[in-house]
Amino acid sequence: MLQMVLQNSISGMAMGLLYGVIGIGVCLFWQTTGLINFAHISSAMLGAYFFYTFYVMWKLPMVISFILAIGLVALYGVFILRGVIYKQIMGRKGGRLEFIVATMMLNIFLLNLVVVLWGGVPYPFPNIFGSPMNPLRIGGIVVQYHSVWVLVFTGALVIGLNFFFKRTLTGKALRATAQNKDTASLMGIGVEKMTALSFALSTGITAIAGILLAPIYFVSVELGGGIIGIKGFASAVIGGLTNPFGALVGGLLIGLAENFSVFYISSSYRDVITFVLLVFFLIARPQGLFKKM
Amino acid sequence: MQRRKIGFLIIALLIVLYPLVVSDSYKVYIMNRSLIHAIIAMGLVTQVGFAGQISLGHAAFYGIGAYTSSLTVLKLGFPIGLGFLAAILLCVLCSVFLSVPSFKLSGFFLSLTTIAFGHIVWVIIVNWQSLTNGALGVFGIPSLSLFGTRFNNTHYFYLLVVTIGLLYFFIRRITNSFIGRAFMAMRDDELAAECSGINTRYFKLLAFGISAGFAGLAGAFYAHLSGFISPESFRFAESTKFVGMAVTGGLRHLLGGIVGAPIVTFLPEMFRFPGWETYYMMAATFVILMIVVFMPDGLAPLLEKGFNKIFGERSTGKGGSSE
Amino acid sequence: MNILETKGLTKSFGGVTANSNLDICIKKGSVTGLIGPNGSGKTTFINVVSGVYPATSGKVIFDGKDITSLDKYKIARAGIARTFQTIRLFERLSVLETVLVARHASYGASIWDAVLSTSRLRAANAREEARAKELLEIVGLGKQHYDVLGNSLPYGYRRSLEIARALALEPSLLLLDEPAAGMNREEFNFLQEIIQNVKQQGITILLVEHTMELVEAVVDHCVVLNYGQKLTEGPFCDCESDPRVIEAYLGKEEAEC
Ligand SMILES: Nc1ncnc2c1ncn2[C@@H]1O[C@H](COP(=O)(O)OP(=O)(O)OP(=O)(O)O)[C@@H](O)[C@H]1O
Ligand SMILES: [Mg+2]
Repeated sequence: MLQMVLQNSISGMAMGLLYGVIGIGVCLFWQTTGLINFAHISSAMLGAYFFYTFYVMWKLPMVISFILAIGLVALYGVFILRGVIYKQIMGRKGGRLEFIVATMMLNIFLLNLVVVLWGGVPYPFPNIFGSPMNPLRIGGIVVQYHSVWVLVFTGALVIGLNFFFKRTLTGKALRATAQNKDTASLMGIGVEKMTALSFALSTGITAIAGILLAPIYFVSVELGGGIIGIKGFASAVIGGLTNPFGALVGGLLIGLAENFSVFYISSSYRDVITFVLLVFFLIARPQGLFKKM
Repeated sequence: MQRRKIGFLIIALLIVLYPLVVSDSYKVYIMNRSLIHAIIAMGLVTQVGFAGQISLGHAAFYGIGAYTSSLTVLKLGFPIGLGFLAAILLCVLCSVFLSVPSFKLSGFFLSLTTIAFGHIVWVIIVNWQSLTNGALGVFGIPSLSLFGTRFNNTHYFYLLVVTIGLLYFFIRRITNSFIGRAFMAMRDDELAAECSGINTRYFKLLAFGISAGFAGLAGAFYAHLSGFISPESFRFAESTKFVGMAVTGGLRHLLGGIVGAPIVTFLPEMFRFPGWETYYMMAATFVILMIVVFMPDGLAPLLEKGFNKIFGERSTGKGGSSE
Repeated sequence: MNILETKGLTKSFGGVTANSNLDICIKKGSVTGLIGPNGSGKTTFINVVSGVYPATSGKVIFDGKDITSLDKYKIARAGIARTFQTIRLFERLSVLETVLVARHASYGASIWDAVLSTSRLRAANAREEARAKELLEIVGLGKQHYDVLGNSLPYGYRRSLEIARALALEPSLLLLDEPAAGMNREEFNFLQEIIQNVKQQGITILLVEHTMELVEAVVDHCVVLNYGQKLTEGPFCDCESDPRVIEAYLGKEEAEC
């Protein structure tokens, strides 16, 4: 029994951390723009497809494929998402509604684009994060190597982001911009540049989550059209939207709740848990669990 | 004025002749589907465009309408008319649940709640197998009939056109009245509206109720038109499509839904050149994306302008369109 | 007779107490000035009275009735109308429509009247439009303005439009939050006329204003706030010369230099 609980906790946490990483992207976007990008999850899909192309199809080294994939997605974030859509809508003082609709349509377009470029058939992801057939066994508990990798990546991301925000000048400037654009620009911070940076970070980090999700969902449009994106939003909302690391806690909460609901209730209602949590937090605690970073 | 009448007459004639000229019954069926979507998009124009309450969960109402009507007819043996009525009523009732969060939330947070609502309803439809037959769907839904003749696609087409005409009339009267003004005041500045004596909760309920009722009616139409429904037709992607239709047509234009739905439906067909089979969906979604990003007012105002140019301006009043 | 009384009215935002234990009475038919340095809690007072913010503690009594926890729209319909320090007009409504929004409750028609376009609705439309035009006339907006968007008016006119919208509620108490801010000389003079005019119609006014010239010209009674507390009250000339008031304003100004 205890074994089952532990095992469920571990796989739930791994999944939850990935939702959380997507949530971090949502937070970084929200902090500087005050908007939610409904094409957010397509960054994860693009990340997975790019990585697959570089690593499996072009046989580039893994690290290089990884960096290239994330970099490309970040470029998409800066030049297409920000350069075209965000600028166009903000330029005419369009409201949130316009941004919601535009990014939703962008998401649909990207799904169709991916189908054209890579075909609609899911690609199996190579077992670079360990084979599910050959998991780690610690005293009767089965732990997938994938979960370990997720922990490693998330840990590295948290440490890296923390260092960036607290120790580097650019990171501090980005935080100042998130706090107050006018003050930041008075302080001589290039607000434009900072916005571009936050777009790059938001999409790039989500791409990492996409690559890590691929072993579970395959390299498929499911990554960009399914409800994983909503789970990312939910993690961010639960975490308080203004605190990227809060999103990780939100993601963990969702991941665990999901896994245990499968265990105790029924797998068919798995996704409902997320939505119930999301609505509960939106209504009862809209400020989320954590304060502004 | 006379010239305008001629213009309306021409448009009316084109509509009446459409199913007769297009002899391909499948094309008429697709047109009927798009008209059904137009009903939903019209509701969204009212709720989102005029009242400012976003919904990304309308596939849920569409589904509730479709299942309610088919199940009351199939399981309870009620006449189809009552099925339609039940569909509308249940959707309006469910909209109350959805509008309660809107008392507190707006913008992104409201849209997230409506997405959640859509998914929850979808999961219920899939899993309540004893009632809905789960993922397999419901078969053998009877078609509408009149005096013993089962409706074919052409009949449905005319019925839908008349229905849309009536619904257009309905929302036109409402949005042009003091009620529409309250909607718009609430949309533009909720606080200022309330301080001007507008009970925004009531108007949110009303806006959600109207558009949910429209979606329920559309769902009932769809069920009896196609004879078969399954959860696949009520996924989140459909909700986005409905909003996309309303926006493409013009979110703040009364004709937005009516213009947007057929365009979004038939756009992919227009790109089906030989050799383009793989690209047509991408091309169509790209065009819609461009419309949404670069033409925030949608196509209906443009069409209206074109109409006015050819057939002359309306002499009195403002921003009107065909009655 | 007091039309509005607050008893121990307190409003705090986290650590900041924006209104602290305020006992303020407004005489029926008077023009009462509410003055004080920046951040002293004047807007907060208006927000609490009009129901925009719930009071932390204390009571608001309007016309003998406790309205402390009433909904905003109910307070508005009960007869308290307000304007906003930062103008809040409806983005896509014309001038005439903006005023008609606040006439909503007087239509006495239902949604079915709208759908069926009944004679009751048509009568109400004509009646309310006429009234709205009267009100626009009072604040100096004429025919040529009816169909333009509220936000496209020159600044001073936008403030006047807000006043017309507030008057459209047929209020017994009108709360004006810095109506003269940003007005030019001509608009300023006309505002003074508007206020006199409104007063003559028996509407009580609470005027929050930094322009002492306006306060001096129109108010019968003055309440001074400082740091959320009532510093003093009385006729304007007494307040103006009160050393504590001078210090409150000067202290503020020195701090700003
Ligand atoms: N919504 C709010 N949240 C937090 N603090 C607020 C809020 N509204 C007002 N305050 C604080 O309450 C205090 C009083 O503000 P208020 O706007 O009432 O002052 P005021 O007298 O109207 O000033 P001004 O003359 O500048 O308009 C200020 O310290 C302000 O920062
Ligand atoms: Mg103020």
